[in-house]
Amino acid sequence: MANGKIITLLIIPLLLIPTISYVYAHWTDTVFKQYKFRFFCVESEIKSYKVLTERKYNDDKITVYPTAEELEEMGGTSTLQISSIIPEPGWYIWIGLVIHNQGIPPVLVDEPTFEFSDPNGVADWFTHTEYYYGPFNKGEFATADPYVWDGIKYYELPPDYPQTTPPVRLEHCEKLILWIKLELSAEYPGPMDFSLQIAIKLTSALAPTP
Amino acid sequence: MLVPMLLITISAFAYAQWSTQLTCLTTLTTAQEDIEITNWTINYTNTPDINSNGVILGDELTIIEVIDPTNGQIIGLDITADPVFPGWVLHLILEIYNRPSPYSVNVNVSYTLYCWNETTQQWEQITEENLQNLFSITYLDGFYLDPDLTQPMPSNYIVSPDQYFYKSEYLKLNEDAPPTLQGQSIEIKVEIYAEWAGV
Repeated sequence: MANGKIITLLIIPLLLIPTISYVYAHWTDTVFKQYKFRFFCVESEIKSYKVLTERKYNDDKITVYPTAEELEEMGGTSTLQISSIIPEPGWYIWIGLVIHNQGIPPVLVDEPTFEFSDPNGVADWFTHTEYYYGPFNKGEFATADPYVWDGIKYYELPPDYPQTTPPVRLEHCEKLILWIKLELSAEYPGPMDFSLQIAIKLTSALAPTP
Repeated sequence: MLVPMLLITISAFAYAQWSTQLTCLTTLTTAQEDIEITNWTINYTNTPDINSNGVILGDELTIIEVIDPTNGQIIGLDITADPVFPGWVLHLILEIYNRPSPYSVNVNVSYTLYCWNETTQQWEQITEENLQNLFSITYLDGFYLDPDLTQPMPSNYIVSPDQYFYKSEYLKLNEDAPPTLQGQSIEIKVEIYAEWAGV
């Protein structure tokens, strides 16, 4: 009987401890708030493009991905891939881009990057020069005088319009016109009629608070 | 229910062992904390109308009340903001009620912040400082005694049954948020506790 009492003395506190813990745990009520955030994206993209050059370089020799129709469906791209047969030293094309900040936060558009497929080691013979115009708030670039975009011919490039120095800050919905002259050196010794693929990739980042 | 049942069991056990000495059986009725969200208001936000459809609340910013099906009380709010951008702000005010009942008790209120860990698939406690360091989110809050937020709740304040109190929450994505956050999603949970303040 004495042993039973001792065991009882031990067991009762042992049972009471979890009971008290249970009681304490249930003497707390909660409400909650659950937040889910998705962080902004930099959404400056190429919304439209042009490739202009002399007719002798242009006759079905140049292909661009995405095509104008594909780009329309995609709603924009950050990379343009251009392929061409290069017939002679001094070959050149002008690539025009309409860059649009479709996102909310302002962005800085910097110099694009170029990736050459270079099976014959010819990339070093190419030069590229960039010309920046804008930013334009709406569609003023289309009616700019002198021409910046609409109606411009290859021989009028680069546009005789005040240039902007990169990086260019684009607020929400603002647009930037970028003309790139890509050229094969006149000193290039050959061989010719090689195929060139080049990817032009947009560089943009979130703009700091002014 | 469980507590009286356990106590009866313990008492019966004790009675059986100490039958000659113990003749008193104690019953216990537990007190009850019962808080609920009775109202919420957006005091300020600069959430933009991204898709220009004229709707922000219910589109770029959604707030869904979570209802306890057993009693119809609002026990939570699910808030989604998509997207948030540097400089984005949301200031939300909750009205919370310590519901009276025959067993209502005085309570102390507190809160804990959690962040959902995608790797471990668990809620993990996070400090305001880490929220700032990891996600560039400034979290400022406070309990108040009035809806206009003019009377901060003193520390160790005891909320009585049938009393309302208010929680202000101010969240801001800092202007210097790094571009590496772009496209990421995070989930934060704020649990507000009402604990029995004791006898």
